[in-house]
This record gives sequence, structure tokens and C-alpha cells, in this order.
Amino acid sequence: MRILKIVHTADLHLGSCFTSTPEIAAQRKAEQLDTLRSIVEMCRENSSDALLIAGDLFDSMRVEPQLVAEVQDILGSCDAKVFISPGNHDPAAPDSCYMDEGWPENVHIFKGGLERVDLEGKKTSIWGLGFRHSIEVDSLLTDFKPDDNYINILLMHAELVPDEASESRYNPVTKEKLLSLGMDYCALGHIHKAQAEKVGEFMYCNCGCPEGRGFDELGDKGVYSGHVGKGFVHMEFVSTCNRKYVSERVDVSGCSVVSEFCDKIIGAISKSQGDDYRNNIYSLTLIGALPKGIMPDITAISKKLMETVHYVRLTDMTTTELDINALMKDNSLRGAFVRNIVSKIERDERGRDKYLRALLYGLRAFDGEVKIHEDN
Amino acid sequence: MKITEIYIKSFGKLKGVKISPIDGVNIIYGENEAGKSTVMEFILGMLYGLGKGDQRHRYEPWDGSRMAGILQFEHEGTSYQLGRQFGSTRSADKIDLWSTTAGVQIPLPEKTEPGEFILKINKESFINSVFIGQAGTAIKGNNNEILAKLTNLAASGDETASKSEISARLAEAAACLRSKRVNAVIPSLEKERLALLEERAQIVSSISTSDELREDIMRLSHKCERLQFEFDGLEEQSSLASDLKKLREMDEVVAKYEAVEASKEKYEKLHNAMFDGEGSITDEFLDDARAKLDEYKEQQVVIKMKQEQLEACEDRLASIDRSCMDNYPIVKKYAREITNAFDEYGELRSQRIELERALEEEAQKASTGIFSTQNIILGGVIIVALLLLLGFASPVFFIIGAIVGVVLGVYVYFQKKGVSFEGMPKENIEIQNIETDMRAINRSMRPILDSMGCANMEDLDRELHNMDHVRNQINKAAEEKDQLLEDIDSQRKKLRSILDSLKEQLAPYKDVQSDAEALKIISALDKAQRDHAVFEAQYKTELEAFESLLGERDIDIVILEADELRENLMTKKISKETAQRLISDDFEENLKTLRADLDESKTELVKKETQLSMQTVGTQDLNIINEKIKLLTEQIDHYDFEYSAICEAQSALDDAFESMQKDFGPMINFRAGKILDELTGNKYSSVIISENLVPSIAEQGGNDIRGCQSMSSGTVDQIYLALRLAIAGILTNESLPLFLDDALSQFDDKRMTDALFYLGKENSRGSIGQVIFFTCHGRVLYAAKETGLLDGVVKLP
Repeated sequence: MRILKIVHTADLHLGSCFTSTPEIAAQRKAEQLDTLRSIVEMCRENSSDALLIAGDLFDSMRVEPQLVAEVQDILGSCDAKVFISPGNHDPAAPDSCYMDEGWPENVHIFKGGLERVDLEGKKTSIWGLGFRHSIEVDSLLTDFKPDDNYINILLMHAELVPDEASESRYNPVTKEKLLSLGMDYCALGHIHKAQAEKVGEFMYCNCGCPEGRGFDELGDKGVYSGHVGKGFVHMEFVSTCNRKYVSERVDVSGCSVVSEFCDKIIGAISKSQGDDYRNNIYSLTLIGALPKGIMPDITAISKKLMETVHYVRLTDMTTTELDINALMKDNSLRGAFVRNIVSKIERDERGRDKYLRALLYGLRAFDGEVKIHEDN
Repeated sequence: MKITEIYIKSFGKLKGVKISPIDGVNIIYGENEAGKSTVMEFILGMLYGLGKGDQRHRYEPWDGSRMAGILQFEHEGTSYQLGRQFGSTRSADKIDLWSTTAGVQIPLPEKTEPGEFILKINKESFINSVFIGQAGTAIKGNNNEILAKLTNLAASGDETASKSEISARLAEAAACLRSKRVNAVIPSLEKERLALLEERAQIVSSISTSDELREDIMRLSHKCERLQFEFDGLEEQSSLASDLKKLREMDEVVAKYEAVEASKEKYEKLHNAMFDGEGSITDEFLDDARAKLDEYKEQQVVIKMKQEQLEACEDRLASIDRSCMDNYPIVKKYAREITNAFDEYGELRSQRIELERALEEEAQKASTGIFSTQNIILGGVIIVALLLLLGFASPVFFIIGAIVGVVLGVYVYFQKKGVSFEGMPKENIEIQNIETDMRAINRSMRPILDSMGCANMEDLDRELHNMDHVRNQINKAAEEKDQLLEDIDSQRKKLRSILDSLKEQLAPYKDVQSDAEALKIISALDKAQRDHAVFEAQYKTELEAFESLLGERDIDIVILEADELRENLMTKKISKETAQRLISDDFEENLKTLRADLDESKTELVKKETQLSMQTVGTQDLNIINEKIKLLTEQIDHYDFEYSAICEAQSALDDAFESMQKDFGPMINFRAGKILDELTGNKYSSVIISENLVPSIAEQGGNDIRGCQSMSSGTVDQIYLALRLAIAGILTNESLPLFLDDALSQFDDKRMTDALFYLGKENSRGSIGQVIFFTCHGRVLYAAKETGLLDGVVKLP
């Protein structure tokens, strides 16, 4: 039985600027290349026949020549044949780096309309196409008839839409269309969250990105690796990310000094993220009630945390410890204020967070100057 | 606060007045118009400034000097010296505030009065609490500050934590987040985001431009590829076409050469035949023969023309009508008689003509006068017509008209006849006689006339004229005919002579048997010579054209090269159609057009590529901007949340404070009641103060509450004094001086004494501050003496 071993990835967005984490942007850029290297290494370990990159290999059309050279070098070292389908971020436009000379021989880039490339000795056809503009509102798929004697794999950057009438700017395709093509496997890219579906012995897959780039790409990221044959397909998710982006709320109730805050935070994230917690990039929201007069020094806590974890961004949503009942009994203006707030919460539960925050600010104002953390 | 010294440099009528109040009850005594109120206004003016306009000008010194003075006081442990020179407006005032304790000048915030700054109460609060002017003790105005302060202190129980301070803290925090301040957080972030949005729009536009350029580049690239492919194909064929054209040209040269050679051979042959060897004909011979031939032909034409004329003449002769000549024998026979008769007849005819002319002239004269025949006839016709018309009215007119008509008819008849009513003229008679004679001649000639078929002599005359005419015609035609015959004969002779000359000329060359043959030969020779000349010219032209085509080349080499080229081209197996296409003008034109098109497309492509390379922004910049905008939006949302929470806190605080304002009453009531109790000697002790500080009281032990309107003015003054003292006691941390400008004038002596006593007592206890009492009433001095307050009595100068 003929089986083709493949690794399917997409959306690396090499050359991203990592604006949300400028402090570690340079390092993240380098780590992206490491991810690509690890994918290539995976191909070597698995003796893969083909590495399929379904678009957005680069974050933009104009890539620093140095980065292009690096990528060419990394892909050139891949034992497998590499197929690239340019996506909406890196379309095969006239000034695209894909038009440069210097791409290794084992790399084939689908620079235009649907094209068939047969893998020598494998009786496999890779059908690919590429974006030529950053927007492709019409489907790039043209009619074609695959050879049923071949293993047929489609590689393209596309957006799955529910039906033909749905509009999309990124080469729209329906699931029904994919099913009708007579492919054995469809390797898609564009959506950064992995999603795959098997229908009988046909499978299509959006492999997601292999490395997160911001707090909108949380959790584990990776590629799909496996086998494709005639009437047989088995692809699995394999994690490849160097670091995960994690967003959590951490209860720091009762803490008052930086070390206490850090201990509590570390405890929470190590519990949720496991042993690898130090590698991750965190966006943490501090919640909970702090003793009166205590306001977390976000800068100091962040700095301390980053001695342990790779990167953390804190948002303070803590409140002050309050004996609401006692305060409500106070006949002074303070008590009247608290009673007023409580009645508002009772009347409008949806605004609870806001009223509690108002309570905090009001009580702080009674006690002294109200400070705003601008680094929140 | 304690005022330690009042120095009025110049204010109103007061000049250089110095008062040093004691820390107790001061009674400033002065007669009316001494300036007591002026002193109070001075103090108020020093602390809170003067009003505008008339209020300010009211206290301008009469001598024109500037209002100025110094106020020294102590407040909250610090001694102050306040110097002020009043200008024409508030902004022109010069204020110096010194802390004499620290020895430093205290800068006042802009538009802030010293009283507000030091005492922390505004002018209204000051006036409505401790400054009782001549208007009375009643508290007027909105009193918002008083109410606020009272509520604040009553509610918080903490004098350091006033509601205003708390609000101010929240407001400050809110302002940090969102206000018009330059460094306000949210507006700064929003501004930053707006700038990024604008930058993004520009980038998007630039990317769109880049996309369009890419589109153009792709299109042009494809076009250049296609054109290049076509051009390369054509160019390949171009050399082939060039060879074919070259071959064609060479073939033309060779063909030309061959044609020329053939022509040359023919020409030489002809030339030789004509001009060299036996029987060659010279040019002179041919020219001469041609001339003779031409002459011969001309002569033939002339003869022919003459013959035609002869024919015409004979026709004319034959066509003459000779019928009238049948009577010629008769004429000839009776020639004499006829001649005599005509002589006579002719004379008679002449006479008649003359007479008729004379008659005519007379008639002409008659017809042109007023009574000319014409006018008579016309008038007669008109008369007849009228009469006939009138006849319809009466038959008589009809009859008269008929008679006139008949007469007119007769007149006309005779006029026509030439007979006048006056009688016939003599000319007519003579004419008649002549005609008689003429008739006689006709009778005498009748036999001759009849034999000739003539009616009369006139006819005979005409007949004789005809005969003469016909005879003349015949003679003329005959003469002409004879002439023509003679001419023709002459021309024929000439023709003969020419022909003989030709034959003679040809004799050495050919034995010519007949004239026709001679002419034929000459014609042929003429044609031959013409042909020779034509051929010669043609040959020379062909030769020139060929030589021009050949140029400097050697024809043998050309032939050789053509053969070689042909052989070479044959190996390429080009079809006929292809060859024709390649050598056509269209091919060259197509190639030229294609080259131009390709060059233009390449230039355009380079231009577009250059433009694209100059685009400085791309999708990466867009990605960065989008990231930044996203981050900023998150931050703005966070701070907006914080801001809304602070606003909510402010709102809750305001609500809480408002609700508590309603609760301050009991405290004020209590305090004011206590004071009133003492002032009234336990008569009234229950005071109920409304929200707007309007008091009501109840008698000691009573339940009836009475408003002030039912009280005597003295009692009202007591009540308000008690209220003011209660308020003053709450308003500031340290008691303010109480200023009274004859405010107790409504009090009776006992009340006055009681009031003074109360003031002195409470001052001693420290529950009220310094009292400065201005009065012009002696009884106040008396009361002061009674209550042991004489230390504080000062008399105004």
C-alpha cells in the first residue's frame, strides 16, 4: 500500500514584530526560526516525504533579505520535498521574496493558479495554488480532474465558509467543495487555531500556527504529521511551540508585599501550566481582596516574576479587604457611601464589577490620595 | 482667627486710622458718620475684596488717594500681615500677604481672595455667619457653602475628611484619567490611537497603490513575455526574410540582365540589318522617303477633299429647279413686247406708289388730332353704349342709341375705304386713273400672259425674275465644277510626280512594280525605322535601369551569389506562402510594430517596478499598526473602566452626601437652641432650622412651633444671632471673629446686656472667637460696663 509521510504546517508568520511583547520581540523572532528548524528536524526524524506549508510562511510580502536567506537555508536542509502555497500575508506578488532566485531545489512554490507537481517515485500529486494578492475574494480553485491512481493532496491557503454564498476575502471554500475534489487529503492554512475533520477516508485540516505570537493565540501550538494513502489518512497534532501564551486570572487575596504576590502567582501558574510554566508568556489579571491600604506594585511584581518566568504582563483588578456589613452600619458619610454602592449593586448586578471598583476607589479617597496604576 | 491690628491708610473718609482689637469682646464706639461701617467694610474688603462699580467707588477717598490699608491677624497659630491697595478693579488691586511668623510672603492663587485662602470659607459664608451688618442678623442667600460644610462636618465626624476633599481626590484621580490636562491618560492614549488609525489609513492606501502596481507589473510581465516570444519568433524569420529579399533582388538583377542582353541582341541584329551590309538603308534615305511619303499622303488628302467638293457641286447643279425655264422660248420670242410693256407698266406703278404715300401721310395727320378718326370712333362707341344702357330705363334711348350706332358704322366704313365725308381726295382720283392704265396694259399683254400662265404683269414680272435667278444658279455651279476638275487634275499630277520620285529612289534597293508596292515598301521601311528608334530607346532605358540596379557589382558575381543563396534557402524548405509572407512589406511592418510594442512594455514595466520598490510601507507595517491599535484599545478599555468606576464613586459620594445633608439639622438645632436659651434667658430653647436655614422655635416646655414671622424683630434677631453663632462655631476649626455693626439695635437694654454677657462668657470659654462690635449707642457702653467688657472699648477718632 502506497503511503506518503507528510508534515503539514502553516501560518508561521516569520518576521512578525511582536508588538504586544516588545521587550522580548527580538527573542521571539529568533524563536520562530527555531520552530521552523524543529519542524524540519521532525521531517528528518519521521523520514517524511513532503513538508507542506499552507500559506503565511512570512508575515508580510516584504521580508528582510537576511530572514529570507535564513529560511531558504533551513528549508534547503530539509530532507523532504518542501511545498509552499503563498497566503494572504505573503502572496506571490511581483515583489515577493518568492520571486527571488535562491530558493533551494527541494522547495517548490506555487506561484500562480492550480498546479500539479508529482513526487518522483511516489505516485503522488501535490495540487497547489497560491495567493497572488493579499485579498482573493473569488475561489482560486479551478476545475481539475485528479488521477485516481495517484495519491492526491491539495495544498492551499483558504478560508472555510459555510456555503457558496458566503463572502470571504481569503480564497473561500466550502467543505462540500473540498469533498468533491477527489483529494485524499486537503492541507489548508489561514486559521491559527487547529481544526481537522475526517469524512470517511478523506481528511481536511487547518493545522493552525506552530508558534503563538500574542495573547490571541493562547495555548499549545503545533503541526499535523502523519500518513496519507489511497483510502487511508492518519494525521495527528504534534506540538512544536517553544512557548505558550497563557492568559489567567490569579487570586492574590491577602497578599501585601511583592514576594507574597509572586509566590501566589507562581503557585497558580505552575499548577495550571505544569513543569514548563517557566517558558511561557503570561498575561495575568490579579483579582482578590487585599488588606486595606495595600495596592499591588505591578512593576515590581512583574520584574520579580520575570526572574522565574519568561515574560509576564499583569493587570490589577484587586480590591481592598472590606467588611461591607460593618461599613454599611457606619453613620458617617463613608457608611452612606458604602450603602449607596451596595444598593446600586443590588439594583444592577451586571455592573457589579464596576460598582465594586467604585467602592474601592471611594474608600481609598476617604483614606487619602487615589492612585491610578498607569502600567496596568 | 483674631484680628490684632487694623490700619486704614486711606479708605472712605478714614485716613491713617489704627485700631488694635483685643482678643475678646471689642466695642468700637463712634457717633453717626464716624466711620464704623467703613471700618467693617474695610475689614471685609481686605479679606474678600470690594465689589464692582459703585460698590468699589463708594469708599474711594475724597482726597483722591488710593484706598489702602493693612490688616494683621492670627489664624491657626500663624500671624499674618495682609496689605492691600485697592485699584479701580479687582485685578488692579495689589495684595501682599505675609506670614510674619515665618517671615515669608504667601503667594495667593489667582483670583483667590485672602479670606478664602486663609479661612477656607467664601465671602457669602463669612457674611452670613460672622459678619452681621446693618442689614440685620437674618441669613440670606443660597448658603450652599454653609450647608455643605455643615453637612460635611455633621456627617463625617472627621474634620479632616471633608466631603469636598474626598470628592477632590476622586476628581483628581478621574482627571488623571480623563480631562483636558495634557498628560491625562485616556485622551493621550486615544490621541495615540487616532494617530495610528490615520497612519493605518495611509498605509492601507499605500498598500492599495502597491497592489495596483503589482497587478500592473504582472500584467506587463505577461505581456512582455508574450511579445518577446513573438518577437524572437519573428526575428528568427527576419534573417530568412532578408535572405529571401536579397535573393529576389538578385534575381531581378539577373532577369534584368538577361532581358537587356536579349534586347541588345535584337537591337544589334536590327541595327545591322538596317544600317550595315548590303541593302542597308541610311537615315538620310529614310528621312527623304518618309518626307515623300508624307507629302504623298497629304496630296491624297487634298485630292480627296477636291473630289468631295466636286460631288457637292454636281449635286447642287442637278438639284436646281428648271421648271420655270419651260417658258423661256416664249420670253425669247416676245422679248421686245415684253420689255416695252414692262417699261410702261413700271412707270405707272411708280407713280401709284408715290400717290399712295402722299395719301398715307395725310391720313396719319388726320388720325392724330383731337378729332381724329380714332377719337371720333371711340366717342361714338361710348355714346352708343350709354344709350343702350339707358334703353333699359326707357325704349326711347334704345332707339336713339341704335340710330347713332348705324351712323357710326357708316363713318367707319368710309374711313376704311379712304373716302372722307368731305369727298374723295385728288390723289385717289389719280390713283384710279393709273390703275385704269395698268389694267389696259394687262389687257394688251393678255395673250402672252396666258401662254405663260400668268394672271397679270405682276405675275409675268415674277416669272421673269425666277428665270433669271435659275439661269444664274446654273451658270455659277457650272463654273465651279470646271474649276474643281481642273484642280483635281493638277493634284493628281503632283501625286504622280511624288510617286515616281519614290519609285526612283527605291529602284536601287528593290525593283518596285507598282505604285502600291512602292508605297507599301516605304511605309514598311518607315515603320522599321520607327521601330528601330523605339527599340533603341527602350534598350537604352533597360540598360540604364539594369546598370542602376547592378550598381558597382559584377553581374557574374551576382549570378553566382544568387545561386548560392538559392541553394542555401532551398535547404530550409520554406513554403511558397511563407516565403511570400516573409518578403511582404507587412512582415517588416509587423516586426517593427512588435519591437516598438515590446520596448514600450519593457519601459513601462521597469517604471512600475521602480515605483513599487519605492513604496516604503507594506503589510508588515500594517500588521504592526494593527497590533499597536489593538493594544491601545485594550488599555483604553481598561482605563475607561477605571474611570467609569471613579465616576460611579463620585456619584455615590454625592448621593450619600445629599442624603446626609438632611440630617445635619439636629446638630444645628441643638447648638442654636442652646445659644438661644442663654440669650433669651431660658425663654426659647428649641430651634428647628430648615434646609435653607430658616429657623422656627418653640417655647420652653411648649409644643407649638412658631416661625419667625410671628416673632418680634428683637426675638428674630436673637434667634438669628443664635443661629449665626451656632454656624460660626461649626464652620471653621478656629473660631472666627464675630463682627456686629450695631446689629443688636433691636434689642432692648436687658437683651442687649444679656447678649453682651453671653458673648463675653462664651469668648472667655473659647467657644466663640473675638467679637468686634461697632455701635453708636451709649447703652451698649453701659451694657459693656455692666458685663465687665470695658477693656475692649475703643472710640473711633
